Amino acid sequence: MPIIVNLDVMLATRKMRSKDLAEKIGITTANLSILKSGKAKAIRFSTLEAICEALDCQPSDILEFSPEL
Amino acid sequence: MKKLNTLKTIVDLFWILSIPFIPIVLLVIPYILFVDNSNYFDIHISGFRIKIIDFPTKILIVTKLVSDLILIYCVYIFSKILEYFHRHKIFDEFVLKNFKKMGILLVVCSFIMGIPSILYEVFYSEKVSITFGFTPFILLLCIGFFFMILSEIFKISRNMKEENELTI
Repeated sequence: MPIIVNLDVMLATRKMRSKDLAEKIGITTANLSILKSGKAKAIRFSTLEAICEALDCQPSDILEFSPEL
Repeated sequence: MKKLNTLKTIVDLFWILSIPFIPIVLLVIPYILFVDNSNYFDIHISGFRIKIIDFPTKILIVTKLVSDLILIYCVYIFSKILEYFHRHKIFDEFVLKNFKKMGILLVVCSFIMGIPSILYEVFYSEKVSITFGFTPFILLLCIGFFFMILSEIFKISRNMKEENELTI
């Protein structure tokens, strides 16, 4: 998929663990793992909003468009 | 689930009852093709009696028997699909592939069954009759296409289910 999820980068810069973020935004670690690995097919605005709020960032910091080769 | 169990019982029963028919057909096919069996049996195909047994008639009988074998195979596939439904594996790849296979086989079967019968009627009965309503040819063709469409619908449904499950 040409949409890349940079959640792991954001977590590293904020020095936050996946488990903590999952707890903060109210989703399971399994779902967060799906999101981080890029296997997710879609993301709800509510989830995106919660992530942005928890990590104090913009949606563009998490999602990136890269045309497929 | 009660309906599924009823359907599975009916299909399984039909499949079990058809099993003895398979070796008989496989033995009868070479017998019909290679043995000169003038008028030992009273053969009826698609409602009309076959009087003269020559080579084209033999081919007609064989194609009819082959189409019956295909139908039995379709029943077997359907029973397997119902088994998957029973185990709640509704969108499994096996189900999708076999619905499509069943559809193709039923369409092929309808042509194998229908066209030689029409040709036989034209050449031997020397008359062309038009039947209105659901003939076995039309019915099988429709069921075949229905299963092919069902396979496509299941594919779309599976994608939607995956999408729903992978929406975070």
